[in-house]
Amino acid sequence: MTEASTASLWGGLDDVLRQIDVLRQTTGSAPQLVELLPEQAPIYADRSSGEADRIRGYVLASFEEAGLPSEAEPYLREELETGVRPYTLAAAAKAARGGCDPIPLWLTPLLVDAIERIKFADDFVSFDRNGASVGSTTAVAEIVRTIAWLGPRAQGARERLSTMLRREGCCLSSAVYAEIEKTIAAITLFPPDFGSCCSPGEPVASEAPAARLVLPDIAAIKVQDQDGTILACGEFLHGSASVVTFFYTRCMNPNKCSLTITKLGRLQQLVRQAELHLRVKIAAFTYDPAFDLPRRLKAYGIDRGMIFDERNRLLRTTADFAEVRACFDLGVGYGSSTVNRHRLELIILDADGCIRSHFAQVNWSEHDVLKALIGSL
Amino acid sequence: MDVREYRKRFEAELDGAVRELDGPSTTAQGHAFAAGQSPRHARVVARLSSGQGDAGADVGALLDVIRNRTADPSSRREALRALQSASFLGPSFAPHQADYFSALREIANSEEPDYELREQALEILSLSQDPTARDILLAGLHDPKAALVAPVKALQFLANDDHASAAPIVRAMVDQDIDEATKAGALRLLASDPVSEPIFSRLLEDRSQSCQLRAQSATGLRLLNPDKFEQIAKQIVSDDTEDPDLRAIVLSALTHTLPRERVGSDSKFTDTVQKVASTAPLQELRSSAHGFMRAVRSK
Repeated sequence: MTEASTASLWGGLDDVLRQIDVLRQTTGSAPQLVELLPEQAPIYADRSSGEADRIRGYVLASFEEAGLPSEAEPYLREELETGVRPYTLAAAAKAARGGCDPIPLWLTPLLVDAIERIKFADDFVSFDRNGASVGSTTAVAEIVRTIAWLGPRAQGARERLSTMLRREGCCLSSAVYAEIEKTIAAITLFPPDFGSCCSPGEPVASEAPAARLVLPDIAAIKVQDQDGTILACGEFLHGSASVVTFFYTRCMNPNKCSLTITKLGRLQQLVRQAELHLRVKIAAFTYDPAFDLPRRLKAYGIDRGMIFDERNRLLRTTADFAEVRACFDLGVGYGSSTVNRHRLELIILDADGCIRSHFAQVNWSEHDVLKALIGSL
Repeated sequence: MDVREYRKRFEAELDGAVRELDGPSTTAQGHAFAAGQSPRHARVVARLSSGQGDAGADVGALLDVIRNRTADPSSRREALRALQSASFLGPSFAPHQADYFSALREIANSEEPDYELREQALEILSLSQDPTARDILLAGLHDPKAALVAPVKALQFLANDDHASAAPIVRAMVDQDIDEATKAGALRLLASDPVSEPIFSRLLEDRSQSCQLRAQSATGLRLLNPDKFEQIAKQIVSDDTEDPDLRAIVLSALTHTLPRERVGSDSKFTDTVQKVASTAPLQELRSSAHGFMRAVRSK
């Protein structure tokens, strides 16, 4: 069965939301809701980005009632860290309210970051399928509400929220300022170090799964680089440790693909400074090979500081991307013309083509990647 | 008229207009006035820009005007222009952004009596990739009875969002009996849809299509498959029986599409263009051919 026909089993948007409502009302349904979060899940296939966001937001918001399982946390974190849509960010904030102690350390700063990110594009949101509560709350208000819900555990937000209050009249609505005032008051009831006792350590930025040999699965796949050169994946990736990441030039989220390629350019510089450039290969595959033709890849990379040579390339598969997607189990979904949503992914392969590190759903830093890369040499 | 003279005259007119307003003139007032707003609304934009006065009340009043379906249509349109100008002010407009979007969605509705206002609201929303606007526009393309704006406008607005998944319905429209402007709008939207490449190849080669649609198809094909475009464009340019306007257009596009190192690498085609440059009856075609030859020589 094709992905699209599997999606059609879910029906139109309203049918999907109705089915999620049923799950919401079922005790112990949180694991089933988590299964609806991966971007490649059939529920998102062949839908527009707007529909995919609506479904995803609806699922995320369900965790407020269903309880937030730890398996959902990476999705929540990625949304708060990179999301730009008021609806999905508000949904992530609601999902956080389904969590229980210990609250992860990253939650509070990412909530405040999210306010800063969308304050110029705030919008009303409703998580009622029939839109009954439209106009009652905005995305920023939902996020502030979650910080208030954290109470003393949001000590880290006090200073930044106070700074926002001092800028009253600028950026946020009077209703949101009132919420922030109440939130600060709630946090201030407790001593500044109150929250620190109940926080676990930072989650590791990258998972390091058991080495999995992937190169044979993709070795024969033909790829074309930014200069039009066609070669086999195996030809390029075999024999050196490699950094492989994914992007597409039409991505609308500046915190995802554009930033990924910009950081890849910075990673190139770090690799060179560490004198590893002859021992490492760096590549980024486009999720959208039919549109991202060589000249588009080249311009996109150059504009973001990438320097191309035989060891550093942007790649497109000359045929379908499905095999690469399946091999790396990539979190990417497609609408009728292009990607409808994707997660952040960066993979480090060793010289034999085994996965040594997988940075998934985190806004990786080039310094962390370099460290992991050195570990794989 | 010389452009500097034109600019000077425009600035003088603008200065005069702004001086007529109450209070000191500001750049924001000038811009708002230039955008066709009344002095009153220009002052609102200026107050928002400077952070003086009760900006919240000003925006609230403007939102009330655009929401009021019984108000004078020209006042409502003017209020919308003022709000749209103010929405570019960033921090000072941000507190009102959610209310603004909400008001626009109220206007982008079948019950809205002012067609122009409804169309403007849909345009502004679609520029923000608003899902409500996208659904309304797609519904109108599916079912003309549900259309809130003309299909050519719906296509123009949907083209703002590559991720709207509008391509399947628009692909189907291309072969329907629709007017030329709508078909051109459909082709513009499909220029970012790789699946539509065969449509562009077919229309570009189809002599029964108008020159405008074939030129539009050339643009789409050039974006989606430059190699295929090159192949068909060379055939068209080399064919004396082809439409000379189209030959001029595709030759010019080819000159700007070919990588520098490949311009002139096809000696047979270069000879053909050389001949076209000296013998073609249409001046535009000769001009395009000369442009190509200049590119060959400057390699």
